[in-house]
Amino acid sequence: MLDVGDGVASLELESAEAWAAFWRGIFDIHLDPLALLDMRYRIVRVNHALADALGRRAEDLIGKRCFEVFHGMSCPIANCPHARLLEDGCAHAEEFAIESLGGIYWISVTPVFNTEGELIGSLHIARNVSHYKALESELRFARDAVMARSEERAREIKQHVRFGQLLVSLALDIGRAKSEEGILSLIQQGVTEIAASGGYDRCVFWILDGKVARAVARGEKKGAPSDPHPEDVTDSVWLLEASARLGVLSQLPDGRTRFVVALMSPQNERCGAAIQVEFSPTAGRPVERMEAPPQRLRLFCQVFANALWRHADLEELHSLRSELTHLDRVARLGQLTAMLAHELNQPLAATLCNAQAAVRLLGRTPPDLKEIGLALDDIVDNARRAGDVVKRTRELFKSERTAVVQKVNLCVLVERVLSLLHNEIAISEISLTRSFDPSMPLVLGDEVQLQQVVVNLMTNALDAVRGKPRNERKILIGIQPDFSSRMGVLSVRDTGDGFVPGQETLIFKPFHTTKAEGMGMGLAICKQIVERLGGAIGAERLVKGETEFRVSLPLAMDENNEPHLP
Amino acid sequence: MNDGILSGHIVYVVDDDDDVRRGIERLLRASGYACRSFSNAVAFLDAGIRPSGPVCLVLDIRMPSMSGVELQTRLTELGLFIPIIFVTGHGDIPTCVKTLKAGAVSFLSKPFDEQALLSAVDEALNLSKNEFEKQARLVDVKRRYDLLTSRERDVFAGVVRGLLNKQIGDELGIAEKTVKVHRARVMEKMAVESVASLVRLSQILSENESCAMREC
Repeated sequence: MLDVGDGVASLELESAEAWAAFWRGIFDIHLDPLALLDMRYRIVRVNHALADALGRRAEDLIGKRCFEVFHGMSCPIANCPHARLLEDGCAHAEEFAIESLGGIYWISVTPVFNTEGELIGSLHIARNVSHYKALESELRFARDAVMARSEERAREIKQHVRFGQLLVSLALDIGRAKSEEGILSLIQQGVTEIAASGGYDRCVFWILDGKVARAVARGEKKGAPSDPHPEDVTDSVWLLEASARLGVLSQLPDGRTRFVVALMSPQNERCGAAIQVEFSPTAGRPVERMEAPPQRLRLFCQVFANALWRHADLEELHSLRSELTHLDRVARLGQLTAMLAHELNQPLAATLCNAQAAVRLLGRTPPDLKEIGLALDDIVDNARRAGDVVKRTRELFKSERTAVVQKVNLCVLVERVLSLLHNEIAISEISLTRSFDPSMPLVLGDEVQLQQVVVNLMTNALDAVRGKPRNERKILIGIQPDFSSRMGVLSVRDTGDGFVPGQETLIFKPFHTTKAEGMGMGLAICKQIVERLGGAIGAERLVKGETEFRVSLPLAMDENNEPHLP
Repeated sequence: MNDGILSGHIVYVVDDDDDVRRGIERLLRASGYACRSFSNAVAFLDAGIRPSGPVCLVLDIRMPSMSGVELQTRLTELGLFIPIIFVTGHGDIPTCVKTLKAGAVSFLSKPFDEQALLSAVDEALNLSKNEFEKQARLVDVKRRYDLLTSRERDVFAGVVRGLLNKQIGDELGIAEKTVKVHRARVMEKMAVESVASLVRLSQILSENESCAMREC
């Protein structure tokens, strides 16, 4: 046992079995591969994640030597952190490319002691950093793109990123801390830093200070959320939902005290992590300062750091992605604006001419009433025409809206988009062919999002064929149902050189673009939209040098579970 | 017909948008102009228009198969002088500069005010009229010049250079008296009464010649 306050020490003795079961549970279901090794490199215990990663059963691994299993060697590898731990009894960490696990891993080892304080082995945590590296690079791209697009938004995002970085660096520092004393001070430092970074006063990290925590809990009892049942808590780390509070201390029926700590992003309520700790009554006594927390706290912190890290990154990426979706729509609308200006200026010009002609005709003696009537008819028609353009456009300009999945007539929707692009198609002298199956039922989707998909595919097709000779500029739009798979299929085929054969998958990745002014987000967003609706999107180079994009969407069913016809 | 409007004029309108074309035409007619409209540039060319009086063209830029700018170039190639007023739904500066450099009278963005259109049309028709008058004068002067004998043309050249009869006689190797006779015939045939007027006619002729040279 390590040097800790009396109260805590007695607590641990009293609830040692409960603690053991608690940590075994965490160990087994933890998402990162974990292994316990003895002093002779033999595997004592592995969790599900590790067995799965190796594709072997956990039982088959027990007793084997780690270097044989993981590295295919007959002796410990160079820089083996476990070997160093055996020498000095301290925690170590190292990055390795581990072929058997298929990736780059940050391996950290933590010494495990028996109750007499003798070193008996180590806990290995393998953190797959290849995933984080990919995330990191995607994040970097996303950040660059967003910042380049809009400085104002970038400032906001920067703050978010900074918060994320602070959380991540805190988590990293905790994960790499060399001594137990370091962990607590790191956490305290980190919390102070996060709080000082501005606007983060809601970030609270309570550690084992029962007096303060209980005061907090008493003071805010009214707003306290319904605590998860002890049985519901299968992992020591879970993610807080929007309304959850930050630091909660509560009495359990069996007299133990439960304590919840949380780190949350103030900008995104769903982003955060929490730790639950339970104490027996004897531990309820205030602990002023914990200079040397028990060994378990380290594991506890590592698990915490891991979850926090993963969550903060994913949340940030998610918010940046939706940011980009909006920016892409804005950018695309920029392209559309020129066309729309033309669409609007035509009826306005006609209206103005007719109105001024009518004024002149009225001034004649006698006024030419027949001609004035015709002019007024034209004015009415053109005002309607302008109104229609505005109506069709308004939907696309909406920035913030939630998706509404409903039954959509795909043919009508495509026609609406085509009418927006009508002028562009005529001017570019593109031969446009429609092949709409008259028996096409309704599909399920969000109208505005689907419009965005069609606009994306159509502007891509227009851009692709524009460089071709006049007689080779062809676009074919097809809509037909596939009753066997219960999907509706929209295909846009063009005669342009849209993408290089072999890049069928690559073109749907973010930031892949063949256009000088493109952001490379269009197709990535289409894919996201379509897949969220339960559909699929794909591209194909056809034999005749044509490109075809196919979007399939689930058919809407009526009350008899038959395809719903318009 | 209004007083200020030139007689015998025609304003051509070429725009692929039916509504806009009808609107412009109605406004022009209501303002007293004679109009003829076409739905595309090719139809306008196919009509084989050879203007015989003041004309101008109200022309849309963006049209299928042949743009307004392409039609402007084509008219120049055909040697047809028809002043052009461009109207466009969304004008960009490079196109505007290009058309104006190529001689367009005006470049209007839709929607435009009637005053902008009508004053541009007036300006264009006047340009066209002046060009027609210039052409008519040139044809007349050339016809008269063609009546001169080669000796009379020599004397014409001498007079215009400001030489005295005697000097012209010395240059041509004929008597001063004979020069005087030729000179009187030249004045009579060219229908002028002063040397100054004769000099002006020679300028018209030489301008036309240098134009012809340039065209070669």
